[in-house]
This record gives sequence, C-alpha cells and structure tokens, in this order.
Amino acid sequence: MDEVYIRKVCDGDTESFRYFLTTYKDWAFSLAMSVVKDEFHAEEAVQEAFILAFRKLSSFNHKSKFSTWFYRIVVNESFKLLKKQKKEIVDFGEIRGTEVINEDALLALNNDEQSHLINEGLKKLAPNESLALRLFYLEEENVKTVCEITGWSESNVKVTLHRARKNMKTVLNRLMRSSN
Amino acid sequence: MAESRSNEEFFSRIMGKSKLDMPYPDFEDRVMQSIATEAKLNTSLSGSRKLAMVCFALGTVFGLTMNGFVSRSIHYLFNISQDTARLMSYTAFLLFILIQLDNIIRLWSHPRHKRSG
Repeated sequence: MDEVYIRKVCDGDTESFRYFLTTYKDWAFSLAMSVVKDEFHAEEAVQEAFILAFRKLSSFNHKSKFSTWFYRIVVNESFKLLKKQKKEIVDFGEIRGTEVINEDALLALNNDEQSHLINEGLKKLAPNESLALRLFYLEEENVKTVCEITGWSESNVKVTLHRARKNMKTVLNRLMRSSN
Repeated sequence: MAESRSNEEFFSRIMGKSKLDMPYPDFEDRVMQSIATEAKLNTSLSGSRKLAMVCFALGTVFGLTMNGFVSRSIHYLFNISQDTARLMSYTAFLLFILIQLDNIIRLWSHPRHKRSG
C-alpha cells in the first residue's frame, strides 16, 4: 500500500501524503515521546519528520520498508530536538534496585490504567531505553530493524534492551506502589 | 530460560499498550498545509531555475560575442592598447559570469522550512 502512495506523491499528488499522516502519526508520536518525553516537543519532532519525509520521498530507495525509513527520520528529529532542549531535560540518572514486579497485579488493572502506568513508566526511563523498548515491540521483536532505525550496533541494542526491561520493571513497581 | 521467556511475554503484552495517540486533532491539517506550501514553492522554484539557466546560457553566449566589440570600443574610447582593453573586457566579463553563477547555485540550495507557530 505504501508503494502506491509513494508513487502518487512523487507524481505530484500532494494530497496523497495524507495517507502517511493517517497511518504513521500515532506510532511516530509514540516514538518521539520516548525520546523527548513531552507532548509539545514530540508533536514538533513528528511534524518536522513528516515534512522532511515529504521532501526526501523521491530519494527513498525502497531497500527497506517505508516505515523503517520514516521512523529513522522521526528518531533523528527527536534526538535533534532533545539536543536543542538539553537544558530543560531532567536528569534521568540510573534507576537502582532489583525489585520484582507483581505482573499479575499490573495485568489485573483495566486497559486504561495499564496504558497510563506503562506510559508513565516509559517517561521515567532514559530516552534510549524507552525508545529501544517501543521500537523492539513495535517492530515485531526484530533487533535488526531496531538497529536500522536507530543506527546502533546489534550488541548495543541488546544491552540497552536488557537494561530497559530491568529498569522498566523497577519503575513500574514503584509507580504501582505509589498509586496504591 | 523459562524466566526469560515469561519476561518476553510480559513485555510483549504490556508494550502493546504503550501506543499513544496524537493528541492534536488538527495535526494532519497543519502538516498538509505546510506540505502544500512546500510543493507550491518547489513548483515555482523549478520554473525559476529553468528560466535562470536559459538566461544564463543566452547571456554567456551574448557576452562572448560582445567581448570583441567591447574591447575594441575601450581601445578607441580611452586610447589604451588593444591587449589591455581586451584584458579589461575579459576580466569584467569573467567577474560578471562568476557572480551570476553564484546566484544560480543559490537557487539550488533548498530553502529550509520554518515553523510559523
């Protein structure tokens, strides 16, 4: 489907670009939120990414999926913005502890509560950790695609994922305890 | 091994719920507006580039043919040697060509989109 719309946009049908906006805006926003941790800045990064994708669409070489190519732009724009906003970024520091999460208690919550808790947890992780988690589970648990999108090495992705899972459990545990 | 698998399953389940929705309902329209402006700018820029290239080529040919006439005119008007007059004329022509070339190259450097709000 993406191929059809890429051809249409490249042939001058600008309105066809709306298809990419409708299809990818939510995931792009989720990825940008992983990095910049703020709705306003995430929206700014996603908007820049879409405009950049439109500009460079004719140079898209079809070697990878459109989504991989586009998410890479989103990630780059988000990190660019994060660098610009560095002064405002809270120190994420190291999350210490080896707390064991009560998975059943978390899964027993209703969907909205779970979603809220998980997103709050992701906000508390370092940008690369929350990004690695979102990308890995978004891209059907494919480390290679995460490498393509982030530009990190395979070992770096695996290490970041391992740390991210551990920290996420600790953060979720703390959030659940504080909400009780 | 079993613990690692259950860990994977746990994260697969919870991360599926981490998708956020774009909270700005006018987002699509705003981006489409920026893109329409970008496309319009590209179209007009492409026309200007073609015109600039044609004018540059015509101007260069015209300049080359006029060079002989100009150097002869300088020679007769200011009563200076023909070689000096030719050198002056060619230097002026070369400078003019370089300035125009610089302007044409600038037309290819894409104007960066700036957010208005």
